[in-house]
Amino acid sequence: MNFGAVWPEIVVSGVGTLLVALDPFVSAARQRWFGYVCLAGLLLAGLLTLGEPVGGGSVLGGMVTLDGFSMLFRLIFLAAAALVVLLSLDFILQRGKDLGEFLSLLCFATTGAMVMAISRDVVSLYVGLELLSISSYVLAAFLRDESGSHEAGLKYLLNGALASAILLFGLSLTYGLTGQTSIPALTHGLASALHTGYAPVVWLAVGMVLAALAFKIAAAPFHLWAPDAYEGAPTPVTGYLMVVAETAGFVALLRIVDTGMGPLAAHWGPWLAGLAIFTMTVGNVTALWQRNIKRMLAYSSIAQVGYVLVGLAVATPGGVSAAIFYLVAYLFTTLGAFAVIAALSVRDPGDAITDYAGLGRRSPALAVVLTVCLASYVGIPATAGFMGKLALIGAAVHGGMAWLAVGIAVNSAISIGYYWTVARTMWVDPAPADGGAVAVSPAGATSVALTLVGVVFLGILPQAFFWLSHWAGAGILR
Amino acid sequence: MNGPMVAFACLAGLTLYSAWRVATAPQVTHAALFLAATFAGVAGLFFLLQADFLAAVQLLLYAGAVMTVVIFAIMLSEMREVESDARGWRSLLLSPRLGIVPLVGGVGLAAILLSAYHRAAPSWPLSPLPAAPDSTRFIAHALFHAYALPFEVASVLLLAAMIGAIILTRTEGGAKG
Repeated sequence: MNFGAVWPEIVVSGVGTLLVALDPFVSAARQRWFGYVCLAGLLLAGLLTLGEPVGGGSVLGGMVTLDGFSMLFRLIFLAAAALVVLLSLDFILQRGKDLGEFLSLLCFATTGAMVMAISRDVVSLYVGLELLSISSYVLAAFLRDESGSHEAGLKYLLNGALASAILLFGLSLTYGLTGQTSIPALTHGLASALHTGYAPVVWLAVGMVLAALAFKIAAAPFHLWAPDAYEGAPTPVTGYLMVVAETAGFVALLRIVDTGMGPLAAHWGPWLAGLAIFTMTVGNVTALWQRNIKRMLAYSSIAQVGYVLVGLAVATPGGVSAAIFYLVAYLFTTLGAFAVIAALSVRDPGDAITDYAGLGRRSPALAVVLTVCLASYVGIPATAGFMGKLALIGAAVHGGMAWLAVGIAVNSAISIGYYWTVARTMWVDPAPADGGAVAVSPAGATSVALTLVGVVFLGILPQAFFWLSHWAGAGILR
Repeated sequence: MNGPMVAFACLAGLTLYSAWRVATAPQVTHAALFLAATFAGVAGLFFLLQADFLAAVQLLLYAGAVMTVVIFAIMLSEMREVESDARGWRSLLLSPRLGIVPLVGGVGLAAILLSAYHRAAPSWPLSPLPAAPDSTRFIAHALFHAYALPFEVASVLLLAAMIGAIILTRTEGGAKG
C-alpha cells in the first residue's frame, strides 16, 4: 500500500496532532508560535500538492484520484485554512482561549475537506465529510461561555447529524442498486437500474443525496440552521464554515451528483435549477431585514450558494467550470469580509451594522477592503464576483436555461439594497464619540491584504483562473 | 414460511419496534435499553446473512461497549426523563409517537422500497455475494487494502471527536495559567 498520494493530508493532520500534543508544554505567552507552525504546515502541504503528478488515474485501492479537480480543491482548502489561521490568531488569544486546540481542530477539519477533494469513492468521501463536520461542530461552539456560540454548535451538530443520516440512507440505496461505492462505477450502475424497473428507488436515492447535500451547503429550504449557526460561531470560524464547509459540500455535489449521477442529469437538472433560484431569492430577500453583519453575511452566503448552484444545474462543462471559478471568487470575497470583521472584533465584540458607523474615518484601509468585498458580492466590474457572475450567466445562457441568468441579474439588483446599507453606514454615518482609530495586528493586516489582492486580481486578470477552473472541471461530467 | 423467514420476521420486528421505542420512551434509561435491543436485533440479522464476524462485532462493540458508554453518560448527566413540550398541531404533526410527518414518511419509504422490490422480483439487479467461508479474513483484507484510506481517516476522526469532547466539557480554571 502506497500512501504517497496523500502526503498533503498526512502533513495537515500531523500538524493538528502535533499542536495538541505540544499544547500542555507551551506557556500562554508563546501560544502565537502555534499559529506559525500551523501556517508552515499548511504551506508545506500546498507545496507537496503542487509536486504531485496529475494523472487522473486511481490510487490507494481506487479510493483516491489525483486529477485537476482534486489538486485545485486541495489548494483552495489549504489557502482558505491559512487565511483563517491568520485572521484568528489575535481573535482567539484576545479572548484567553487555547490557540493550540483551536488550530488543531482547524487542521483536522481541513484534512477532512481535502480527503473529500481527492475521493473517487463514496466511502472515503463520506468519512472525509464527517471529519470536516465533527471538527466544525466543535469549532462553532469553541467560545463555549458565550451563549451564541453554544447555540451555534448545537444547531450545527443536530442539523449536520440529520443531513449525514439522510446522505447515508441515500448512498446505501445507491449501493443496494449498483453494488458499487466507486463513483465512476455508480455512473453506469444507476443508469441501468433506472431502466430495469427500479426507478422509484433511484429517485429516492437521488432525492435523499440531493437533500442532504443541500443541507450541507445551506441551500434554501434546507438553510434554516445556517443563520443561527453562522451568527453565533466565533467570527473566524464563521468565515471558515462559509468557505470551506460549503465548498466541501459543493465538492461532494460535483463528485457524487454531477459525476456519479451524471447520466440522470436531465432529471435532476431542473430540480437543482429550482433549488438555485429559490435559494438565491430567499437569501437576498431575507438579508434585506438583517441588523447584524454576521447574520446579514450568512443570508448573503445563502444567496451566493444559489448562484453557484446555477453552474451545477445546467450540467454542462461550462457550467461546472463557472461554478468552480465562482467558488474561488467567493473564497476571497468572503474571507476578505471576515478578515475585516475579525480585525474589528478583536477588542470590540459588537457585530451590529450600526457599529460600523464612521469606519471610513476610523480606519480607511479596513473600510476600503470591506467595500471592495461588498462590491464583489454584488458583482461590480473589476472585482472577482463580477467575473464569476459573468461566467455563470454565460453558462446558463449556453446551457439553455436563460431564465436562470435573469434570476442572477434580478437577485444581484436586490442584493445592492443591503450591501449598500453597510457601505453607507461606513462612509456616510458619523463615527460614535468613543470610536477611535482601529489598531490592526500584523497577522490581521496580512490576511486583509491577501484577500484584497485575490479579489482584485480575479476581477482584472481572470484568464489564468478561468483556465484553471476549466482544467479542473474537465473530468467531472463525462 | 420457512425457518429463516420466521427468524428474519422476528428479528426485523424486534429491531423496528425497539428503534421506534428509542425515539418515544419518556425515560432516558429505557430508551438506552431499547437501543441495546436494536443493536442486538441488527446483530441477529447479520447472523442470518452469514456475516458472523460482523454479528459478533455488532454485539461486542455496539450492544456492549457503546451501550456502556451511553449508560455512563446518562449516569453522569442530570437528565432522567424527557417530556416533549410540543403541544397542539405541532405535536400532531411531528411527535415521534404517532405524528403525521414521521408516520407518512416511514410508511411512504417502506411503500416505495417494497413496491420496487415486488415489481422487479424475482431479479434484484444484484445477485447476492456468496457468503465468504472465512469472513474475518475477507473483512481484514478489505479494511487494510481497498479501504485503508477511509480506515485511517476514521482514526483521525475519532481523535478529533475526542479532543473536541474534552474542549467542550472540561471545567475552566483547570487549564494552564
